[in-house]
Amino acid sequence: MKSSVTINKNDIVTSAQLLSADCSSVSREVFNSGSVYQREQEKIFQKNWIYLAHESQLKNPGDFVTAYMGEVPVIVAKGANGKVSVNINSCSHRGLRVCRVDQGNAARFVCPYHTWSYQITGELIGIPQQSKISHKVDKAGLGLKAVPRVDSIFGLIFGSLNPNIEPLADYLGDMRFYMEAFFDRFPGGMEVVGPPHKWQVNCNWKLPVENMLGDLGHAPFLHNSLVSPQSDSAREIEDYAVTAVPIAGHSASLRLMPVDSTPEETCNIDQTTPPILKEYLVETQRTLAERLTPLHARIKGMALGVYPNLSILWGQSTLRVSHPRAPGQIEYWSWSLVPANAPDEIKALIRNKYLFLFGASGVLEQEDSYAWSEQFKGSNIQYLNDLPYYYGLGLGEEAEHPELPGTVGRCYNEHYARSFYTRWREDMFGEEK
Amino acid sequence: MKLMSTDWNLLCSIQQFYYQEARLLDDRCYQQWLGMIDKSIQYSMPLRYVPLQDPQKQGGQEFLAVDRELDRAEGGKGSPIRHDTYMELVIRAMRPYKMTAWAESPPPRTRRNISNIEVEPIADYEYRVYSNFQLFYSHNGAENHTYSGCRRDIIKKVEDNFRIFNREVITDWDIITAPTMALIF
Repeated sequence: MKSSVTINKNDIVTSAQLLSADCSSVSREVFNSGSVYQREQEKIFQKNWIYLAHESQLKNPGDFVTAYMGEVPVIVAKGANGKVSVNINSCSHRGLRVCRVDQGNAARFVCPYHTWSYQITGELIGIPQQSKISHKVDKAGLGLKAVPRVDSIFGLIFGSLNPNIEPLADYLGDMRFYMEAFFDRFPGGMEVVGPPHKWQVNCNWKLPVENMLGDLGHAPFLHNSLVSPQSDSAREIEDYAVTAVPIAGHSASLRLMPVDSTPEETCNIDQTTPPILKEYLVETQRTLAERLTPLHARIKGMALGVYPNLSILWGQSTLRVSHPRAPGQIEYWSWSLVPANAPDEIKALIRNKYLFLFGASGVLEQEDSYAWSEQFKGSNIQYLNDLPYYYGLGLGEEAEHPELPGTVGRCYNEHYARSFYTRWREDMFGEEK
Repeated sequence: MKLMSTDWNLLCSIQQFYYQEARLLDDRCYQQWLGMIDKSIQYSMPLRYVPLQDPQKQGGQEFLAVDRELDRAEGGKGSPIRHDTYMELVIRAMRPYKMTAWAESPPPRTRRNISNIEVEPIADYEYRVYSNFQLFYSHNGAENHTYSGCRRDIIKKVEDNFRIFNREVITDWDIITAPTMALIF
């Protein structure tokens, strides 16, 4: 039996102990090792662009929401000048959270311990104890620590703890094409409805991410009680679905419908879609080729994933983030997304569909959560550390596509996950090179 | 204060109705349970979150009101945990009867304790009923969870039996620490 992985300065494991060269073998320790997890907090969550909040949650100056970058708690706030700033939610004096709520509109945050107070944009403005001491404290250096980079695209606000990171647009590269097909499908874009559902799952943070990067192989099987492999929709997926990886770590899964498909065939509707929603989606689809491109209009999307931990489910209209809490625990945050300009009843129908299938009480979500936590149990079987998981489905069959940007694989090709772990390896073990 | 019933016969029969409901659900008789709800039922569970308190409201009851922490569906606004009609409840109730309903196969063990029943008559044969629940949920070996919350129901006496027309479930979590909220509470 192999002893478990430790990563430190003196005894560093090599990536070859965790991943095969082509990432078609992934060690169980990628998921269960405490050392790997600790390293991820620095090498993944402090180095990349991390999704924080949606602009529709911050409409007015003073509006704020709390979020996380990995395990780091942050406050995302709209200042008086309308600019969004992101600061780490920990008092400079004794470290308490200065904001202990999920959202609101405030002029300042106050630390409960000694009432040090801060502007919502992070500047320290009050130290009550200062009046009775003779030396002056330099408040300028004691503001909340600012997240150095903040940028947004399609209304999605990202932050990075890495001051030298490439611009968000470059980080996404051709992923923007696929995001456009989802976020710009509706004139006026998308907005978030209500606060997120938040729940714990006893799984590694990478499993939900991997699932929504393109795991089409699980849908008619894990969700067999509701989605039959013989159904028209399952057959359509087997016939037309692809996963496209524009840059390793990001992925889009979609059905690229034939050129002669009707709007009814190309928009995300099925026999359960209420008539008024069907009409709305079909009408939107009719003008899509003109508003975007004919290629965008042939995309019947399924899921989008942005490295490292943002996922979007297309037909179920949800945005979700897998926050790491321990090797075997996440806090999953899931939002409802609706077209910003849609009539109220359309928004309600889209939201209701999401709520039934996904979110904390979703009938499909409960099966995913179950599978992810079972995977973590399997990852803990130390005896099997030398028997890595098989990620080889479709190995080498992915290729450039005549129309779609990125490397494209057919339906059950697992290249989306191999690419994810290739990117992960670069982040985690880059200095090996 | 609302005027709650002290009619022992009424309280006793409603209490028995709730105990029977809990027993059917714990015995996994979900199809029979469907007979206890009306086809027009609205079954909802607001999302519970932590909003900023309004300093202007300090000293008054509104400052602490639980309602402030509840996100309900209002038209296209809101993202509650549950917003079920009869159709969604039928699908939820029928799922566990399939081998491939993997989250419930093999089935979890549950025990519902229903308490603090208060009955407010609101029309002839129509009642608003307040109750608390503790739901013990055990699955996957040693994975045990306790759900805690309250329910606000509208029940009506139809022919000889009560039937649930509206249920709102309010749980006591901010961040949910159980694997799913897809159960029947």
